[in-house]
Amino acid sequence: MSLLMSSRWRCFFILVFIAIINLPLRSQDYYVNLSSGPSFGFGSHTFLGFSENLEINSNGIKRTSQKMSFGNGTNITASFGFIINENISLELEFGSQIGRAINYRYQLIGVGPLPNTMIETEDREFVGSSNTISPSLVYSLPKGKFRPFIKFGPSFSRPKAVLNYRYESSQVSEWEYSFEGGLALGLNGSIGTYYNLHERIDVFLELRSVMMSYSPKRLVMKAYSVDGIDRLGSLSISEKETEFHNSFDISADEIANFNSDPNKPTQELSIKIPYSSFQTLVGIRFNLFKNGQ
Amino acid sequence: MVNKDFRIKIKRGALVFFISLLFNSLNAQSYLKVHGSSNLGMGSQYLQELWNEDGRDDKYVASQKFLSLGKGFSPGVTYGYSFSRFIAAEVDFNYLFGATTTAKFHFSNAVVTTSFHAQVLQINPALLIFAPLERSDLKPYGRFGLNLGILPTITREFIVEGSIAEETRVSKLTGGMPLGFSTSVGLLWDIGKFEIFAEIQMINMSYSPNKLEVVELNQFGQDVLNAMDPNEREINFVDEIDSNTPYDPNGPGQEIRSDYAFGSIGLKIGLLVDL
Repeated sequence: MSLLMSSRWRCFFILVFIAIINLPLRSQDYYVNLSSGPSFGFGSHTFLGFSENLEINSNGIKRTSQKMSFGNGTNITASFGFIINENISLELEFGSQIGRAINYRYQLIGVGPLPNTMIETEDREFVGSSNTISPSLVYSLPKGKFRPFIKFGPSFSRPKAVLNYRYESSQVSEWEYSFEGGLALGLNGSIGTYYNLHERIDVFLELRSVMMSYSPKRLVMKAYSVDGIDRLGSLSISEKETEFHNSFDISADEIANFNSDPNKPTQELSIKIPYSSFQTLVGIRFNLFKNGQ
Repeated sequence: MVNKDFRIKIKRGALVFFISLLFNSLNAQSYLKVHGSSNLGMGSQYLQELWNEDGRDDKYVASQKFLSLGKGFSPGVTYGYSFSRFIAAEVDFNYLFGATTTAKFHFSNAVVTTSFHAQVLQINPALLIFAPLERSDLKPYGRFGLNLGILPTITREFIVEGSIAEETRVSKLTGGMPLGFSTSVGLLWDIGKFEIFAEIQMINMSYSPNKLEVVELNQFGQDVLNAMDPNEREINFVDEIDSNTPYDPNGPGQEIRSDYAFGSIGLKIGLLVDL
């Protein structure tokens, strides 16, 4: 199967190569796009077991589902495009996502000063942000006031995911964690249309599907307080930091000492954070040079 | 009044947009494609129950397994209509035979294997923009559409083999209709009576099943499925569970729904015949 697939890939890349060397490079036009718009988490999946809220009130216990994707937020992009011919362009986009929080509440009935019971509340807030570089191939109609286009390409992101965790029972404890390190490889696909306002200016609307999940290299506790008093300094490095690895191979001699040194980060197997999204972008395109000008 | 004017402007804009799509209908042509696609999982997911571990011989070996149920092979057919040399619309029907993702726990006296695979019929309406090259039989194109999953099924197998326990538990997760997006770039190559094409396709989708049913439960060679508690044998996944909901001990259990990653990147190869 893998042999078959590698020969298919080879065949496809040969066809792409033939196409590229056949492209008539008769144009020297460039453009710059600026766009912005909301991003909605899409293609969500369960992350660290978080898929529900649980709330206790006078009517009883209510559990509700919660979608999880860190792709929520607002996107701002700037891209530089090179027009290969009247239908095809190559584009390099720089984007930034400002995340919007996803909130979870989980409540438990705990034991207070006897004989009373009390409600323990865990509130978790997840916020994702990322900076992305996306090269893409753009196919568009050659002429007309409206010029629909389709884009496709990979995206290389440096995401940052923050978890704010608050636990309230007889006292209030608060933590801030940050998932850091590593690059996330994703894929972008878009459909949209340009609307020509002027010889050198178009506006455009773009609907974009982004598929990405992020495997951070480490988890770092950035803040920890109890009843408002900073307690971060009282924790060991192994309590504050976790390093993620795709695999472990630990010998018999090392097993006894595995994750036992308080001055070293805790070692865990890798995780994945869902980062897919559906984005709506509105933008403006500046055509920098026209043929012959 | 403002709203009415705005609606009229939107309608005019949509009409101009539609006409621009059809601006060269002289090349209108319907076509049929037959294709197969080999897909790798992408946008994968971390599941707490899915990793390899081997703690035998006083050593510890572990590796993470990420899950995306979109991987596998998907043959299909497509009916399309090209409005001009540059633009076409098509509907693709394909069936995903999902590849299996397996994780194993090796203990000193038992092996626990957990595996997942999926099957789904996918309907994929899409718009294509072609970029025909001058003096060439090659026609690059981009494609964007929706991806609708019909009758999806996730099969989860949990097998314990060892001297202290033997169990096989097979569950099917079904129901619901996942909706995602599909985007491709590809090349059509005109070789005379028909064209061949190759494309790289991304499917961005996740799936939230409505129901889990245990379809096989075998312990030490004995079928014990009928002895299972009905609440465990069948579970409905819902968006909300209220403690005031009446409990039926003989009916299906209820759990909050979970999402499974169904994304993929694939290489699709096929033939196109003009009708």
